[in-house]
Order: sequence, then structure tokens, then C-alpha cells
Amino acid sequence: MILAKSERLIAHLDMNSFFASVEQQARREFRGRPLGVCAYLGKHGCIIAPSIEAKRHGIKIGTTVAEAKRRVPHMAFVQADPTKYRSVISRVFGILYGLTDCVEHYSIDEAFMDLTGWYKNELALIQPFLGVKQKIRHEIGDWLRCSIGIAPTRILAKMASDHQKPDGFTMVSHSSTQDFLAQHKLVDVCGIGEKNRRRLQRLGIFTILDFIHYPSENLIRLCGKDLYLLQMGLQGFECSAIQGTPAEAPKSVGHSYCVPKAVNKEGNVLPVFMKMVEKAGKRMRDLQRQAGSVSVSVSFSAAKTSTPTDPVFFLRRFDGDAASHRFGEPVSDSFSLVDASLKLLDQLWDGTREISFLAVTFHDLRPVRAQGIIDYRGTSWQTSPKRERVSQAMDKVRDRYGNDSILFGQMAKLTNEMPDRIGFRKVEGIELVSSSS
Amino acid sequence: MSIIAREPIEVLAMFKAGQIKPRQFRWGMRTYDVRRIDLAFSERKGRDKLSYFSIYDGTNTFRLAYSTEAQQWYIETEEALL
Repeated sequence: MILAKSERLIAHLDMNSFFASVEQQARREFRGRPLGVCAYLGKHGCIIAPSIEAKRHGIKIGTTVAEAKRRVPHMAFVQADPTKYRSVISRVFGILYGLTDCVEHYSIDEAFMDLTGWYKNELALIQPFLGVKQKIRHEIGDWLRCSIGIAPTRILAKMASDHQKPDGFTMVSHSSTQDFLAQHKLVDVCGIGEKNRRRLQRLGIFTILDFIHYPSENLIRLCGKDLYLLQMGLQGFECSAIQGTPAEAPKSVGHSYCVPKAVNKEGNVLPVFMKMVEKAGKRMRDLQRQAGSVSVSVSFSAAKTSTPTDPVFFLRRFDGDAASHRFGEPVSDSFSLVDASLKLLDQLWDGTREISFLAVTFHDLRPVRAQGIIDYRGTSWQTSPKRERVSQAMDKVRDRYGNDSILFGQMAKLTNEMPDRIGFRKVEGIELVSSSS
Repeated sequence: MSIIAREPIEVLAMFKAGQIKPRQFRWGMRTYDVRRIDLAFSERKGRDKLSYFSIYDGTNTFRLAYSTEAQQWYIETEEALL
């Protein structure tokens, strides 16, 4: 196949320090001040999003609250509020749909747009994108900043938006690609980490220009398809189209949870696990999918058995296990999913060891069709149309009164376990809101 | 975000073209004028739609919430480590 240089106009928008900027937008006392958005506020909690000011003090994602407080004593911390971020990004994406219908929600704070056909050339995009920046500030919040990159390929557009932060606007055309890439290091390319850098170094590739001029046949043979596609993208050949919404259906749906010690102490592991299964199951049913199989994984935290003189004192060692089950026929009802998952957990856990991590995943998702009667291997119970109808009725109650409105009896004693969490690459739950609202 | 306190309050608000704009609220025997809505966002809980407003009265920031189902306004306090 002979590729032609991409004639596409691809834009990448990246919200700068998104979670922290949204918190600073909401609360003026945090503006201009180092702020860390954390998953948990305890001293072992870690920062998942530092503000622009915190980054200037060298605070990075993953720094613990205790460490950040030691390094920047005047730093403030807030717990992440996923609802706020999803709602704000929905409005940002709504503004982008004013430019093109082909918007790919790449992550919780990034989007790619294919503007080919809508604008004559990249210069014609300056005004509309400056308008986007202005609209974000006017209609959503004046503290929010974004960086925009425009280029003929996705990877170049992403590098262009990373080039100038915060609040940047960078355009890269075919004629300026080499000059642009010459300003960057190999590891600045999204997809080349330390491991790939060392791998390329062994081939005599030290700079991005070395990389793009390296013979493609040798590269694909020695490093595989991914680095070859990356090289094509940097050379100006686009091999992957922008996936406008709706995105393709997921291949699996799951839920994982780092189990706090308190949950173990209070004997709430099973109710929490059931809640996880219920949450994942509801999401799967909302996607109109049934599961062909289920897998459960567990990690245990080992008790401190060593003495202070022992070098591994205070070191918590982790071990775990996983099990899966294939259903005779795809299922989606709550009862079948919970029963199967509990039986898998029963195989993995004797009920005495302290659990530090739990995950449940439904695989082999297929579109919903009528669920038949299924034998669960080695057990006497069967799923039935009645279970499916009850499960559908439970979902209706949840849609009407909220997810916690109807629970399995064992889950009734749970209070605030498993709060809503946000994943950077997760874009589900983002509803589109028109820019005028 | 962990909400550590939530209290029903009286709010004077404008409902126009599908948008809600709180203008004034009464809390603890005092009346506060809304100078600016810094951030507005919403979430759905079942069929209830909760609209949240981070508002500024010229001195302080407050967080108000409105439930369409209960038709009730609340003032909320968020946890932070300062």
C-alpha cells in the first residue's frame, strides 16, 4: 500500500491541569495557589492532578499528600469531584461540536477533531479556535485554559498542543514538520517512553529526526507495528481516522477497588464486592450488552511479620490471584452476575486474609437478546426469565430514584464505601451539552 | 469531592431559557447577593437533576445546589485540606 501525505486538518485540544483548574474555577481561594486534587485526602492519598502553580514547584502526579505538604507547605488539597469534571468537559466538548461533527473524546480532558472539508487550510482555523478558547472562558469559566495543536496527523497535533502550555496554540504544517520535531526530544513523543527510547538508542536512533528518517522496513521488523505507525504519523502519513462519537462498544466492563483496611475490619468485603458487581452490571446493561464470561481478581496484603531489625520491616508485601468463569449463554441479570462473581471470589478467598484490592470484569460482551435458562456448572441454581425481569425492574427503580435506591440485603449496611472515581482515559458518563446552556 | 455539610436554604433565583441563575440567598439570618456564578454544573441521580453553583458574593465563595425533584435549594460545604 502506498501512502500519501495526509491532507487532513486534525486538531487536538488539551485542557491544562484540568481537574485542578476546575477546582480553582469553583473556589476562588485556590486561584493562583498550588493545589493538588487527590483521590483521598489522607496522608497516604496521592495527587492525581496538580495545578499549574503546583507543577511549577515540581509537584507531579503521584506525589503523596504528605510529601507535597513537606515540599510546598502552603499547598492546598481537595478531593476529586468526578461529577464536576464530567459536567465541565461535556460543555467543552459541546463547544467543539460547533466546529465539526467529528470529535473524538480521547480522554477526560482531551479531544481530537477532524476538520477536513470544513476549513480551507490551517490558517482558516486560527479564528475559530481562538473563538473556542474565548467561549470556554466566557461560557464555562474564566480560569480554565486549554492548549490547541493543529497538524496533518494525530500524533503531530498532540505534540503541537503539548508544545506550548498553558494556554498555547500551535500549528504544524507539512513544510514546518521537520523544524518543529527538531525542537523536541524522543521521549516527548506520546508512545515513546524510557523503554522504547533505549530500544531505539540501540538502533542508533537518538533524536526524533533520526527516528523519522530511519528505514521503515527495518523499523517494523525490529520494533513492530506500533513504532512504525508512530513513525508514519510523525512523517505526516495518517493511518488512523478520528473516531467521532458514538465510540465503538467496549469489549469489557468492570470495576476495581482498593479495599481500605476499615472495610476488612468491619467485615464488609462481601457487601462491597456485591456493590462493585452491581455497579459494573448496571453499566453493562445500560450499554445494552450481555456478558459471555466473568473474571475476578483479588490482592491480599500480607501482615507485618518481621521485626524492626529485619530489612523488610514495614514493607507490605502483596500477593493475589484471579479466576474466571464462562457462562453457558450470555447473561446480564443482576442475580446471575452476582452469584457467579461471588462463587469466583469464594474460590480465591478463604474469608480470613485481609484483601487490599478487588476487581470484577465482564468479558465477551454481546448485544442483548432474550436470556435463556442457564446451568451454572457444578451448582443447582439456574437463571430464569423471572430473574431477568426482576433485574430489569430493579434497573427501572435505579433509573428513577438513583443507583443506591435498591440494594441486595447484605449491602444495606454500607454507608460511603466506594465513592465515584474518575479515570483519565474514561470518557463514559460524559453527556453532550450544547454550548449555549 | 466530599460534602461535609448540607443545609436547606432560601434562594431567589431566575429561571430563564432552561438556565437557572441564583441571585440572592438567605443563610444564617443574613442575606447574600450573588455577584458572580463562578461555575455551574449538574448531575443526574435517577430522575432527579441536581444543579450546582459555585457562587461569589464579593467576599466568599459558596456552593449552592438545587434539586429539580424536591424543588429545594441547599448550601453545601466541601472538605479541603489547607
